[in-house]
Amino acid sequence: MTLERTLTEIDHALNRLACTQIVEGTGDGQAVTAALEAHAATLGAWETPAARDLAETLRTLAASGASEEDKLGAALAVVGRFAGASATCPDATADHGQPDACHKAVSHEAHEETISHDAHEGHEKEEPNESFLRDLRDLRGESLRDLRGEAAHGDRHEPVAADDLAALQGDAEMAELFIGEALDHLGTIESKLLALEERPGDTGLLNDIFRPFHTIKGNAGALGLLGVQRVAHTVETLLDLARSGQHRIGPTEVDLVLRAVDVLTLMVNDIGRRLEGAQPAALGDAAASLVESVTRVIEGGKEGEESEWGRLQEASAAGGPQPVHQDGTTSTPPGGPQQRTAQPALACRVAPQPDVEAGSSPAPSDRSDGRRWDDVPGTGAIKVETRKLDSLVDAIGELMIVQSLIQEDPALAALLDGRLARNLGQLKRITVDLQRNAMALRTVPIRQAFRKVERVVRDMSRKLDKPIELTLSGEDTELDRKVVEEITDPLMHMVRNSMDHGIEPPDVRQARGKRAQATVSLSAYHQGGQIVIEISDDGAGLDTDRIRRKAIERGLLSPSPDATATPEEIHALIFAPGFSTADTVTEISGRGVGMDVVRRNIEALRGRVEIRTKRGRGTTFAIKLPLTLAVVDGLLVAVGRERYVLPTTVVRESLRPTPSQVHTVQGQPRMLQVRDALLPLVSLGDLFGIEAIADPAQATVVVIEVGGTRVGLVVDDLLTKQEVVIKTLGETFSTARGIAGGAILYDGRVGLILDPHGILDLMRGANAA
Amino acid sequence: MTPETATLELRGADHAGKYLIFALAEEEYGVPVLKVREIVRMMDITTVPHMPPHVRGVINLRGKVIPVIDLRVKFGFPAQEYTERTCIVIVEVALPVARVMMGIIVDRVAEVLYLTSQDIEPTPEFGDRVQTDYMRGIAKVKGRVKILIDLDRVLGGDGIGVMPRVI
Repeated sequence: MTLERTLTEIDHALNRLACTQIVEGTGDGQAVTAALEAHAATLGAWETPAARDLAETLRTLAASGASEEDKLGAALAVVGRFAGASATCPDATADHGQPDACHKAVSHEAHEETISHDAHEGHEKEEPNESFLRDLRDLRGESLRDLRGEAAHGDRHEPVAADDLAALQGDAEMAELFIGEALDHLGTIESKLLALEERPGDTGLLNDIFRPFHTIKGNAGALGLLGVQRVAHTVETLLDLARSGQHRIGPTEVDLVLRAVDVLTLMVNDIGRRLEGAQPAALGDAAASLVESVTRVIEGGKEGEESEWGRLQEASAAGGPQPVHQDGTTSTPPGGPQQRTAQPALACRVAPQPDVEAGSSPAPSDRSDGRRWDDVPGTGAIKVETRKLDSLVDAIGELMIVQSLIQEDPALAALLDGRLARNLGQLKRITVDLQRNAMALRTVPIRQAFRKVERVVRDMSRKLDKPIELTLSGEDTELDRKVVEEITDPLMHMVRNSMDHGIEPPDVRQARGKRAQATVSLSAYHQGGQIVIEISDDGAGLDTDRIRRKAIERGLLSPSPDATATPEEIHALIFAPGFSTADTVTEISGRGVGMDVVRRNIEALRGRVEIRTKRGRGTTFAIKLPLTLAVVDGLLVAVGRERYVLPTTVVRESLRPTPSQVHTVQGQPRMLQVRDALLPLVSLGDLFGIEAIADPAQATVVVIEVGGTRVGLVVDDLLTKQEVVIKTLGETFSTARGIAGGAILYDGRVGLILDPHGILDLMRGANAA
Repeated sequence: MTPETATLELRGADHAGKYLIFALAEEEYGVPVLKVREIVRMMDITTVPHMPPHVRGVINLRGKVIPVIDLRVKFGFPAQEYTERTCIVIVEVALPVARVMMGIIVDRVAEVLYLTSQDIEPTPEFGDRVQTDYMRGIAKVKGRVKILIDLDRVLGGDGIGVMPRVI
């Protein structure tokens, strides 16, 4: 038998002992002490330093004056840590292993976290001091006692108090890590739940849902977040019953667990906000009522055993020395926290079941999920602060500029040296490659956003009583993390809108010869340096005439019959503020708030929305977004001595107007006629107080479109197109309006990037004044 | 801050150390050398619209975009054409929100001086006409007066307004 195996057995034996003690009380006063001495003796058979250390520790514990409970708690923690470490560091426990760095790290860590150094050195073995006892209690004893208290009172309906953040205060990295991981896990759970609803009997899926709950519970417990822990624990109990076939999963259960995901997401997010100084949100009632509902469902399904089960589960995972991540920037070592949370819990079954191991080795399904890489052993992934990535991307942006400066340098061109030209070409290729790779570092798959939509479709489909099938494609398409975060809400809103307004009720669909079940499809793909996200439905399509009528009613369109708005222009009106064609306002949509916000959000990401629709066949919204927010594709314009970068996403056209196109109002050139449309003219020089060409007929006009408004921007000249790296101007210029940031231009000078929304606001402000 | 507390603070804190001395018109000013990152020649400054006159704009310092303040304008001296000797002193400033790099335009950089506590005297009272709360004290070296300024106060917080001239 290997040492590792022995450790596992000791671990299990201690867990069984803990189970007995919790259920039956301490009973024989010396059971723990006796057990510890026995285990220490067993370990004595191994010659390795790790085994010796552990045996020594157990003996110290046995001889200490601590209570049986405290001894057991501490022993569980120490053995647990050793067993976990032996998986990471096989050398530490190998039968003839030498003390190496790995071993030292493990044993040192274990000692440090379990007993005071004095005890480790053997100086005060006979006389355990106060701090020793305190350490023991901190480790496991308190939680064991708490559980005993809970078991005695059987009170599951107490309100869930806001979590005490003491353990997280001052450790922003740990908090961030916990929050990030928990949200990741909740995301995984949500998508698996939706699959589970289709295949309720799939135990693999159940395991996939159970495990992240378990991890969240364990991590929350380790950080003293008792509220989160309690909710996760209750749901876990239900899931575990389902796993062992004692409870059947039906729609009620899925609903409950989904609710739990929502509540936990809120709680976890709330923790983040509170750490930034916000007041706790009132989530206690929601959490308590959820815990109560789940408990009722559990009791309805199976009487008696489950409460004990729940306690056992909690006993094992509650106060464990969950390392979460000792080092915030590196990945979980293989067999790290994941394993530790799963093992003791399951060890409470008298004989370890095969699925005991399921929690300790990541299942293939975890690996196929792109966002779980941090738990997969062997991929060598690390977590890096985005700030570091940003400065890398920045530096590479500068490199690109310097590279092009050198390449374009006339002095070099004059040399006409073939080898130099080749080398410069090589430098350019490498630089471009480097930039692409650096950009890719900040990107994540869009899956996270799609998952949320999946959930919306499921909930809405029931609420609206419209059977809807959602098809997804391109979930692996990667884009800037911030874009994924910011696009989620607009996506959900648009899908909600499609389902509510676009898709007809089933009877209408059948009458029109369509399948009763409607289809909404969501896809993401790259196209020409942009990301395109499409939301398509096979619903009724946009009713151009009706939108036109509504728009005329609201004064958005001229009622004269010869007004020539193209269908595209009319369709775009659905993004106008307050616009709604819905005759009835439903709970879900139709209030006319939303689509304008959707467009604003997308434009804030420097993206745009296009609509394709066919009456009776359906509508497709295509959102086009830049690959990254770090770089802007800009049109360089000159105004007086200054040059500005205008993001090309808002540019519709540019022209040199003839005098007849320019119309004056109160003596000022204020309007520009472009074909049939009259556009307001804004002089960037006037707006920014720069001396510039005053007569638009002598200048250049760039037509920009922001939030559905087209404006002619008067500039002196168009210079070139350039991709620039966006740099913030910092606090000093936080009041600068119309400016989105700065960029280093090709000649090394700083150019200011224009903020089209801000320019419109400035223009409106100037008009009002 | 009242003059009393300023005096107390000055006596309590030891301002001795190395100072970079620079000139604005005929006056000499000093800032602690520890605050100074580097000194660069005058370069092209990109104007940021809607800023007070002393906020000249931004420069590119090896890929970083850094705000530049014209100290002459800030202290109410008449504006003057930049000369060969005009410099931008890059300093690190602790604003209420963050530490940032800023450039200050000065007429010329004079020297680096070691000032002992004996050299430094508390800021005298000039009455209401002169704002003194950004002054750390006055140093007298070889009969010349150097006004030691607290950059965090000059450039931070309410630093947007133009202060009246000291003398």
